[in-house]
Amino acid sequence: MKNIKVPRLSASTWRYYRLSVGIATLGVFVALPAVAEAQTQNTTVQSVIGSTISLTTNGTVSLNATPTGSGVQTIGSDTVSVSTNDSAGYTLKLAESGASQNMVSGANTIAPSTGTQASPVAETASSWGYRVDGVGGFGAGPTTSASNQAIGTTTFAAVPATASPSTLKTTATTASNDATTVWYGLAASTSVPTGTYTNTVTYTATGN
Amino acid sequence: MRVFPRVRPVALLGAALAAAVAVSVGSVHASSIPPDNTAITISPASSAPSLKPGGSQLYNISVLNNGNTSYNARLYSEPYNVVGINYDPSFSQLPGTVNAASWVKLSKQTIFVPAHETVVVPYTLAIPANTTPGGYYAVIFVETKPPKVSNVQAQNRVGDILYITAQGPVRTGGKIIGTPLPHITSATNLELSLEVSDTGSLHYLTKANISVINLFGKDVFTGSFERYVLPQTVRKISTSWKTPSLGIFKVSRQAIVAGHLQSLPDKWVVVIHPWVIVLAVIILALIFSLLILGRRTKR
Repeated sequence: MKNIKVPRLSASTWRYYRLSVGIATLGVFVALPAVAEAQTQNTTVQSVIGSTISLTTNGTVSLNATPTGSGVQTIGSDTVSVSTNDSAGYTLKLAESGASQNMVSGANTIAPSTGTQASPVAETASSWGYRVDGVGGFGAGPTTSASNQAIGTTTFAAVPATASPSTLKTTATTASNDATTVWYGLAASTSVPTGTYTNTVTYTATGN
Repeated sequence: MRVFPRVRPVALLGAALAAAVAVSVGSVHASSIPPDNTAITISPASSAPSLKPGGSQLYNISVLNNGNTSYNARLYSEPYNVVGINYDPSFSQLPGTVNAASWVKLSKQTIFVPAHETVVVPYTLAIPANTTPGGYYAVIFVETKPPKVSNVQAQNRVGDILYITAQGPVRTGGKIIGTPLPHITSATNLELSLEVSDTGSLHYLTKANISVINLFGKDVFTGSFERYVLPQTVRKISTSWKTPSLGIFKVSRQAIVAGHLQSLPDKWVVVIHPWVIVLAVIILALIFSLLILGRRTKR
């Protein structure tokens, strides 16, 4: 094997090399932060949350009745759910969609209750109305569904005309599927001709 | 002797997890919207456009059908105002006022919204050139039709309230108004409120703060509320404070009214719940009885 000759360096040359290495090392440490700083970037992540309001209902309520001479009563419910991110909450109102407060089947009608939300009344044969437990003068309830039962003492009100809706609920904060149960009752005797009687109501939800 | 098989802990954990998944899946089904239900969402729920008289601007309203049934929806605008200090919304035009709803020109009056889809409807807001600077209010309604014929059929209607500013020199002003607070209360929930008025011709967004501190200066309740206040109206802002059983508290109320911070004088409220009074009476009665008994014994 051939021997490799390592040249001998003078003392001054070694001093020069040590000084160079030192300066180079110092330079690395000085340069590194500058290089690291140059690699740093700030990004602002931004999201704009828009205001929304939602309304969900059953869509329809069936109040089928098989009347008797003295009258029967059927009670059904609609679940009205509102969601909103308005921090002032929402107001939910109910009113007639059309000009008539009657339930209509061709030329035949079922009159609305004579009660109001402030002063509801028990139904009499051949009338219909709504109620919301704990609202206005309706009392705490609880109201339950019924089918062809004897006409009871649960109070109902006429669905108000389009121009003067009733306020069913007002809240003061955001809402997620906040539900209100709206009950509808129909009392019918054999004086009501057979037919499919209908009425269209409008629920309105707006932010406060 | 009967031998029961050893159940491995891993099998027990797996069974528990399976049960939890089954319950959660059942819960998911229970919370989904039934097929006949009508569900409508709009965005925004309110907006505050500001234009010069004679100016116009294009905006959008998004209608989302988050139900399982497609439907036709009707769009239209109506006036908006409020009644009373509780701001009950009203959609009829006040006598002698400008009908700002007529400034809204919708690009479509009826739309078809498929289930689980969003329809964006552009509209133009155009303020007539001769409009007096100030605040004007309208609401854009989106209304669904009932899904099918039944005894009671429901139309769902949601509104985007427009707080419109007709730019120009306007009169602003208002004040914060205190509402009564009891000196002593036994209520478990105490209503804390204030009222703000707008005496100018333009609406403003007030930020109200209601806070309660105890005798040691510790915050026991803080509420912050942002509300629009319409011109020539007074709006009540209220919240409910669940009171501790016993204590003396200082209630502070302030609001930014037409850009200026106004504060009400602080009020001190003493809270004593009924059971505390009953307990105190019992303790006093016991002490009194012991004193009487002690005197009789000495004799």
